[in-house]
Amino acid sequence: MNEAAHLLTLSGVSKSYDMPGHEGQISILHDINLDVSRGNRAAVMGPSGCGKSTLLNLIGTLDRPSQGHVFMEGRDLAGLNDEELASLRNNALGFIFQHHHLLPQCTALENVLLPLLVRSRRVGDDDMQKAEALLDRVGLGGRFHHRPGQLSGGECQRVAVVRALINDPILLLADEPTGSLDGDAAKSLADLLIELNEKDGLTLIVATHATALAERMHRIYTLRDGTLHDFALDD
Amino acid sequence: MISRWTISLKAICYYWRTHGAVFLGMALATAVLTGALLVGDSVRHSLARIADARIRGVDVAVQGGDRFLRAQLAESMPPGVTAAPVIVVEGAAVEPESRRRANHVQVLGVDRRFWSLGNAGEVAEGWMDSSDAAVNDHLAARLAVEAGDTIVLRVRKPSGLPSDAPFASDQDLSTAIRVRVGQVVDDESFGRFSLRVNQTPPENVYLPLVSLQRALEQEARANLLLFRGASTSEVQQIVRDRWTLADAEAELIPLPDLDQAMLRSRRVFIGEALEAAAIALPHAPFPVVGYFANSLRHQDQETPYSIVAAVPFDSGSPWTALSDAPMMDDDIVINDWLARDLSVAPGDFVDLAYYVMGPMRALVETQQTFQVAAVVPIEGLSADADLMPDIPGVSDSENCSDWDPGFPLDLERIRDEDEAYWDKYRGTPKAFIRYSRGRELWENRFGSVTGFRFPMPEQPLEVLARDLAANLDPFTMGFELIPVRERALAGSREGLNFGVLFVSFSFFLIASALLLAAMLFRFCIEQRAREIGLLRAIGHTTAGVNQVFRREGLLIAAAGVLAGAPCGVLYTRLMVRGLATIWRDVVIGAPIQFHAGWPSLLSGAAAGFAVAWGVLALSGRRLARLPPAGLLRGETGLDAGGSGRRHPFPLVLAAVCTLAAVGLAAGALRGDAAGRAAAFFGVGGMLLVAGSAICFSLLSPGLGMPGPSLSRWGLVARGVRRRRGRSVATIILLACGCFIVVAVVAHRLDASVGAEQPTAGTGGFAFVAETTQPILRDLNDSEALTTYGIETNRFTETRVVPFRVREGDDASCLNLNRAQTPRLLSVDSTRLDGRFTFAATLGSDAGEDPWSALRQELPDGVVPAIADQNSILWALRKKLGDTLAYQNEQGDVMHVKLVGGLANSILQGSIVVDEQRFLEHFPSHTGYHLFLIDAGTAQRESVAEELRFAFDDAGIEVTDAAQRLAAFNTIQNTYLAMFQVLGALGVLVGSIGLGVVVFRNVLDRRREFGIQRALGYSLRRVVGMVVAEHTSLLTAGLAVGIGAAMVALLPSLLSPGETTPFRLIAWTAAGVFLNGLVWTLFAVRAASRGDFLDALREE
Repeated sequence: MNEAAHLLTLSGVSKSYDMPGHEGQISILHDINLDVSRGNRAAVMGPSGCGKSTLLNLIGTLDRPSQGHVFMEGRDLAGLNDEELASLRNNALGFIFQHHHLLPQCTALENVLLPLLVRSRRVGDDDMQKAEALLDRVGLGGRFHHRPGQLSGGECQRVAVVRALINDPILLLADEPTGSLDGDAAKSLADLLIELNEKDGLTLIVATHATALAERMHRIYTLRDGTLHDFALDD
Repeated sequence: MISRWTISLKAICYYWRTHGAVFLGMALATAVLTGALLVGDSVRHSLARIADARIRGVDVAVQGGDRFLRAQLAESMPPGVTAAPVIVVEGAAVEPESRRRANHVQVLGVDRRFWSLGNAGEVAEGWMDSSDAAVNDHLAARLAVEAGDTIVLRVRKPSGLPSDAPFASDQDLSTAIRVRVGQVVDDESFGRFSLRVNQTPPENVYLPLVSLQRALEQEARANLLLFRGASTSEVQQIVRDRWTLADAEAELIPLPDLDQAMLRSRRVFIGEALEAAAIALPHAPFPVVGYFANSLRHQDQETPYSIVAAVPFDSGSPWTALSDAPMMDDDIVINDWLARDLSVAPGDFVDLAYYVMGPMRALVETQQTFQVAAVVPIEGLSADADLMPDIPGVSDSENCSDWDPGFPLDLERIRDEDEAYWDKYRGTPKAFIRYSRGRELWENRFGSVTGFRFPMPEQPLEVLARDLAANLDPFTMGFELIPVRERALAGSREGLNFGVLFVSFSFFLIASALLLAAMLFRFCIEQRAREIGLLRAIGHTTAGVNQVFRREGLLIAAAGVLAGAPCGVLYTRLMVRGLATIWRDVVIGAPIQFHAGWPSLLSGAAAGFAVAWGVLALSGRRLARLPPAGLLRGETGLDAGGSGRRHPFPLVLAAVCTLAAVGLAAGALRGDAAGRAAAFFGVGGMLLVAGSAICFSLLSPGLGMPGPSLSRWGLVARGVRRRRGRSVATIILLACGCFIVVAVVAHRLDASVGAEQPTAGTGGFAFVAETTQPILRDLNDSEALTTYGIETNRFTETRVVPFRVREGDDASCLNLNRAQTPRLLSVDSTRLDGRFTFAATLGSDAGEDPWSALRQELPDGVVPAIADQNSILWALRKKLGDTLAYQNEQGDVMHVKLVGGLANSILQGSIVVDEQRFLEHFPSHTGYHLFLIDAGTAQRESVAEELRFAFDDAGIEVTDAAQRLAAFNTIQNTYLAMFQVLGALGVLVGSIGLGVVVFRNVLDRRREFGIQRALGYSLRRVVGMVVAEHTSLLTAGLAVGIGAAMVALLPSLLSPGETTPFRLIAWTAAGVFLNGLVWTLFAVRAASRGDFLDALREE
């Protein structure tokens, strides 16, 4: 298989953990192989604790595989050091977590701009305008200076989405993005994600156990017993 | 504007509770650090003020001691230079009605110029109009006198002839002066004047110069010149330019009958410098020696008490006329009166008997045999009565029966013919020997010659006198040039650095505050694990994340420093107050005033900032390295987890430390007491580390507990192990604090223990006695005791070791200044063999007898010396092998090398050299002023009483040796007390740390406790388990700390007679435990906020 042809390729990826009080290791993922093309959107499904988050963490370089390789745009991530991985996350990846992980001490606007402060000490006017436009796009115009404590769960998650987009990533990883939202908020967020994929060409991988969201993806994968199974709807 | 700094500020504001506590910790640490440095400023400033009060406008001094020069030298100074003549002698003062007494009083004869130098204009104004004295306030307080009262002074009467010299008398060495106190002068009015770099205020009496000159029979003379506005080299030149023979206590007398001029000295024996100056003249003077002979004898004929002269018989000498044949060393020319009296003729043999003065005025009669070479009539050169030296008690007597010299004389031996000779011829020599022979027999350390004879010069004698004076350097004749201001400034500037001292004393308090702040900051970071994970997820590197928290740490540290540095001023004021009250023993005589210098304030703030920020910057580093995925889940890796295997390092460390401790203990048990205490402190310290390492290992997560693990105590144990880092940090903090507070007790010195032992700090001596006037004779000699009116039967078991004393700066712990010219003691070191204990000796020359090191010959004439090790290290800030420089009487530098250090002795404050070496450099030094007295137990009190009675006029002070040592020990014990108090404050902060840990732990586990409550545990049981968990930490800390401290105290515990303050230790332990328990309960209560069940309801 040609890794360069795909945006993302996982080859023989496994992940195990040492557990206290146990001899040996606990295997979470075993021999995962996955290709994701640019502009696609895919879902990873499975019951709670099956390893969906672990898989996304490995793809997003938030963790390292015990075995196997992860290729992004043909580049093996195993050969990258901490700085290179951090740079990759800042420039090419966007994360949305089940719990938004907004900094409670910062406003919505400041939370969105956080990734920009990795590269420069202060945020310029252009970046500020970009962030405001993005927040506006997700319906949070006028809420720029509200702190997470002053926003609803759905609004916080939308701020988290904007934060993930501020650096124009090529791949968006969403781990149970609607997991802590009610029905309307969840649908609204799902619409937003689809829109980002269809209109902006953003490659999207979503870990979810919500079937309604998974059905709207190009491909669905399931995790069972640590292995990934393909359940494609269309290519 | 959104920037990294604004985000950091927001985080600080949001987490203000935790960061507030961190800020307080930083502020406390900075306050203590800055405050400690400002204590140093205050002490330095106070010492500088005291030094200024001591010397005021005086820049340079010329001091003569026993030597006097013309007061006129201080007149007509160059422009810009002011000088004042002063007489300064040591004496005793008594208030006659109450009999209150002060010894070692500085009696000064001064005029208006002195007061002007001291900027005491008011005193100067009225000074010359009255004959009243002024006393300084310190003396006034001691004697309880005020203006209008009368005091009696007893001062040493200066004598031209040193009392140790041949012919000198040891009677009437002092004189009493009754004076009325006209005024009391304080420090501001130059009442504190002293040339010594000491902080203890002198006790001064000021008399009008003229009055004191008259009382001491030193009209128009002074023995001290003070200068303002001139450098030492300028003063040196001024004095040299004005120097005359009169200032050298010498005179040229014309002898027209002999066509000669005679040079003689008030000191009878002409010193080396004057002799060299005379010989250097082109006039070719002839040296002569006149000596008092006890007898001249031929067979059974004897002539008592005669003058014999040693004169040159070389070619060109006028005395060659006395003998036709060349004179040999054993030849003698006698006058016809003697020839008739002894019935001798040329060729007969005559025995000449005379006294030679040994140490302590021990007179040894010596006899030499001469052959009569010629008999001469009493005329011309042989009728020269001026060859007789000026012998006090003899020369100015009308009759022989009036003779009262300073040596034994049997007046019964004097016959009528002797009286007749005296009436007619006075001191005309009855016999003449060769000068070289006489010099050989009679030279002594005061000189070899009693006069020089010049052929009468053609020019006036004044010209010869001027030429002679030009060859003289006053600074080789016993006059010392003292850079007063330079020494005073150096003394105060280079004194004990109280800033560094207080920083080291406060170290544990600073460390506790910093550790507490670091723990709190760490807690805050742990609380933000998800935030760290997020930052990593959005692209921050590990270093980038650390930078985020470093920025926060920087801002908090900066805020803490800005608040703490000014608070340091409060800390300083508190410490200064302590120095004025409970710790006043360390600053005796030096009232410390608060003073803050910008450099110390800024450097304290800078150091505080650097340390604070460094500590905070290191606090959260580890978390940033964890995988972002785990951090996002809230995992910090701090909970007890891992492989369950115990890392061997802590146990290895514990084993190594324990073995090292055992080895050190074994070595220490073979050493001396002082070394043992220090070594066991180290043993305790190692056991402290070992104990902490064992605790660390016991808290290992994989360690199984005996019995069923799921028990209540098992739950408690698991709870303790859950956050091992926090638990161990708490144990170490408490253990270190307890160790410091308790173990320091081991170093408290008790002078009374074993004081009678020769190896004790007292040297085994019962008393230390010091006199204002010198004692000349050997107090071990029964004849001498009888002379002093002491009952010899009370002294049968008494041994006295006398010391010569050259006064100088106090180099003991009682002087905060750095001694510039330490007091010098000299002793016959054989008398000290086996006495005292040496903390250190240099080289192995001393062998088993360290005192013999004083008698060794060192290259380049360096003089070996021994001093108390505390004086060497702390007062002089030197070490063995270092040298000190003194100016000797000849104006040369005497280098003194430290070759031995005594362990905590009563000789603290002085440098001890061998007596013979001392006299080579200070030959005119007279008598002994310090005595170590060994008295049998039964005679102790009677010996002290006899000495006080016999030497009352000499200004004796007899002190119990153990008490003297205790006074020094008080200083060290006070420093230890300071250390303990500040250490206890550190323990208090450590206890607060425990409370913080408890609070944090409970907060972290509220959900867990809520589940326990939901399962049916009562609130009391849950709280009880939490308290049990943290009380176990408290107990472990106490056990490790106090256990290690008790080992450190083992020498004290095992020594018979030593009292270990068990009660103090028990109270300390109880106090720390209760304090920790209070903070624990308070923290549990604060963190529980209800019954824990609400934690299950929180989203």
